[in-house]
Amino acid sequence: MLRTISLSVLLFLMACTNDSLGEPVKGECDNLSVTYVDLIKPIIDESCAYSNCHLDTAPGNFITYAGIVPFLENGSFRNRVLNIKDDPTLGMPPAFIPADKPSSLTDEELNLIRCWLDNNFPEE
Amino acid sequence: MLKSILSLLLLTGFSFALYSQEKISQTFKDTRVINSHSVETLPKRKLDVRISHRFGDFAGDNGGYKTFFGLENATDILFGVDYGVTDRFTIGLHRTKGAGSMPDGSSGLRQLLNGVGKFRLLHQTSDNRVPVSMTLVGVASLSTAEKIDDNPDIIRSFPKFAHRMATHAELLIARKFSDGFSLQLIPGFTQRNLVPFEDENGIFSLGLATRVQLTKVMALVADVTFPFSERRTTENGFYTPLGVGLEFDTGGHVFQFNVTNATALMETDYIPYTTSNWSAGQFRLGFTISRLFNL
Repeated sequence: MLRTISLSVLLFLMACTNDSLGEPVKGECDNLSVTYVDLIKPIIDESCAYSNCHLDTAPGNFITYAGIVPFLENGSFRNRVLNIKDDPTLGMPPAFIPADKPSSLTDEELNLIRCWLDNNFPEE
Repeated sequence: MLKSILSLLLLTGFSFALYSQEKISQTFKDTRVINSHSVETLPKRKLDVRISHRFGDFAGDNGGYKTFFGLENATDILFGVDYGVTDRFTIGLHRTKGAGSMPDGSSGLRQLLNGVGKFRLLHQTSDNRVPVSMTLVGVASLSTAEKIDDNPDIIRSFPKFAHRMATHAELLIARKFSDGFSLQLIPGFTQRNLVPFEDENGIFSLGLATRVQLTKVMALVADVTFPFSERRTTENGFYTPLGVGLEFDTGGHVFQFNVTNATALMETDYIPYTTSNWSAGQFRLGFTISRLFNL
């Protein structure tokens, strides 16, 4: 019994690492001026704010800027849309949406959103 | 070396046990307080089936009537079992969703399998020769989430397999001061194998837990855990996990109803990653059910 305990303790110690993620790489946003009204609202209206999703059922009404702001401020928008975008249930848009809606954003759209968030999501 | 330390601890425990007059039982009713473990271990051959739930923010931006005070969201859910191998040694396996996040919203570990080991070192006695009860707890969490290769900015990129793991060890020191009042100190250490940019892997913490019997079946419980970390300040968006709850012992099972700002249920999760703030309405309702079976 003692041997088992000490062995498992040892195993955990051996599996220990002290690693940290590198500094997040920022995209090329310098020459882009992305605002909600210009470029982001069309993406959100097309991919998020439709019936049975972030319009009337899922958390938040994303048809207006004010409805999105809380999710931008608490970071969940960035997390769901960018960081864990490939997660089938948590990544947005999720895998279970209606067939006629885009189930993933294009690289170009993702880059626009990333730049918009990095620049503190200006409305206009 | 480890072996000799363990043997020494065991010997200390047994020699105290030789002197003991009468062991003080039920310092806590359950093996958990709210977020923290309690000094209690299971009796031999008892199986404890546990279900815990933490809902979404009660108030604030994500709470209120539009989410029916958080009840329409779940931050963390635990299903699991503990088993008493001996009266002093309990093992457990628990599955949690995982809920902790950094202040910028990036996630900690998700979809976790948590192994728990508890070993009772000391048992408080009625003659006060042994003034406190002591239990050693080890927790190992393993994320079973799918690896996301193409994003090196997130924990889930898991460059190594070991990065899926976080471990926690703590010593519980508790005293039952009277029939109705128990207090517990929890020095602990949490190790995360992979952390976000400029975060620290190892964190020492100190917890405090209490139980006050209110009526024959109902008790007030509370616990708080302070992580010792320069980065974990309110200015940086981290908050101290604090919970209060009511515990009902209905005979054979313990039901607990609680309110806490911690979103997560395991030590490896809520100690490094509590970023929700009581005063901003980011506390949540939660419950825990524990049902004992004889095996």
